[in-house]
Amino acid sequence: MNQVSLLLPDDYKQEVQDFLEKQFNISDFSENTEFVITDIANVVEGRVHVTPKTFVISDLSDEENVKLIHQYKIHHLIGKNPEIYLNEIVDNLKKLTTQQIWGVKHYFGEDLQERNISFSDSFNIHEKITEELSHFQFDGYFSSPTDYLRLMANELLSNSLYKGPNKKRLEKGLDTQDRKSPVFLKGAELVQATLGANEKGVALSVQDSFGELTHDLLIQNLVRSFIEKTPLDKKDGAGLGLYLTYLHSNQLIVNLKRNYRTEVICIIDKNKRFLKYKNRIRSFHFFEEVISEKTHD
Amino acid sequence: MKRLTINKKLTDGVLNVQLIGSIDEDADLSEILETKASHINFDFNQVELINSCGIREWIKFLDQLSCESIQYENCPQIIIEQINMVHGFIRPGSRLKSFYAPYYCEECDQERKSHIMSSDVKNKKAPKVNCPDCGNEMEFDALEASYFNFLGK
Repeated sequence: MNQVSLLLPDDYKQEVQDFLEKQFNISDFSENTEFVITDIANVVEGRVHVTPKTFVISDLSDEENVKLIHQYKIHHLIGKNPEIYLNEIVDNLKKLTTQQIWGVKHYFGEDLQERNISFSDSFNIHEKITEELSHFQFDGYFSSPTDYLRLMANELLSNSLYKGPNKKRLEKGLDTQDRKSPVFLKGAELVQATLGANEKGVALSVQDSFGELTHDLLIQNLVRSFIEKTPLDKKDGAGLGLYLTYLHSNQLIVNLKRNYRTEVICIIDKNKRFLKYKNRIRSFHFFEEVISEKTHD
Repeated sequence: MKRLTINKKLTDGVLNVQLIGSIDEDADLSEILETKASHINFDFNQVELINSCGIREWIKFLDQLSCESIQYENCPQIIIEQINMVHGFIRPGSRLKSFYAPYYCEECDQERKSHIMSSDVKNKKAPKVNCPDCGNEMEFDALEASYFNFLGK
C-alpha cells in the first residue's frame, strides 16, 4: 500500500484518516512522503511545499482557490464543504498512485451507464449532445443538470475541435480558423465525448488527440476569466469556456499527455438541491502522464 | 448551422424581439440593428443556451445598438447565471423585468423554476413563492446575494 501523510487541522484529520487507512498507509506529515494531504493554510503559511502529488483541502472561494492553484502550482484541490468529499480524495489518490488516469470509470466504477460520441467535424455538436443526453434519467437531481451538461459539452467540444488544428495552422504560418467556420479533423484526430452516470453523479468527458491543455495554460485562462469576467476578442474562441465549465462543475479533472492526448472531465454530484450544487466549493484535479511514468487506461 | 430564431413585432414604438434557440458563435443579430425603434424588449423565454462565444456576440451587438432603452424579460435560470458570471451582458441603464429562479418544495421534494418579477426582489431577498402543487411556501434554492447580483448591474 502507498504511504500517504496527513497534515490537517484536528477538527477533520481523524475523519480523513479513518476513511483513507482502509486503502492507504497513513502517517503523520513528513516532507519525504510522496503523497501528502494537507489544507490550504499549511500551503500559504509555508509548512508544506506543494508538488503534483500534494492534495490540498480548501474552504476558500472558487476565485481565491484558482489564484492559489496558480501561485502554488497546485494539481489537486479539494473543496472543503460542510461534508468532506472523502470518496473524491480516494478516487483521485488511487488514480495518482496507480497511474491509471484516463476515463470516467475511476470515479463511477464499471457499473455506470455510459454513452460515447465521436466527432470528426464541428457540425451539429449541440444536436448530437442533446440527443445523447435524452438517454439519461435525472430523477434524483435538481431540475436542470442537462442545461449545464449541454453547455459544458458545447464549450469543451468547441475547444477540442478548434484549438488543436489552429495550433497546427499557426505552426504552418496560416491564419487561425474562427468558430463560425466549420472544422474537419484529419484521420485519427477524433474528439470523443463520453457521458456517464450512476447513483453517485453524472460525468462528461471530452478527449482529444492534441494534448495542448497544460496546467499553466489552463490556470492562466481561469485566473484571467475570474478577474476580468469578460470575453476576449479573438477569432479562436472567447476565452471563457473553461471558466464557465469550472463554475458549472462540482469537480473539474484534466488528464494530459502532452502533444498526444487531453481529457477534461466534469462531474456533477447527484443531488436534488440546486443550492447545494451551486454552493459546493469546486474541486480541481490535474494529472499528467509523463514519458517515464507510463499510465494505463 | 443557425440555431437562433428571431421573431420581431413593433407595437407602439416598442420593438418586441422573441429569441428562440441558442445564442452561440453563429447567432446573427444584425437584423435587429436595422430597427428605428427607440425601445427594445427582448424575450428570452425560449433561449435554451448561450455559450461563451454567444456572450461575446451579444456584447458586441449591444455596443452597436443605438436605441434609447432595452428591457429583458423571462430570462431562464441558466441565462441569469451567465449574466452573473460575465460582465457586459446587460448594458448599463437597461432593465431586466422578469426571470426564472429555483425554488424548492420540501413537501413535494421537488425543485421548481418560478417566474419572478425583478420589482418583487427587495434588497436582494427572494420573494415568497408557494408550491403550485401543494400550496406550501417554497424555499429559495440559490444564494440570494449571488443569484440576484445582476440586479445591481
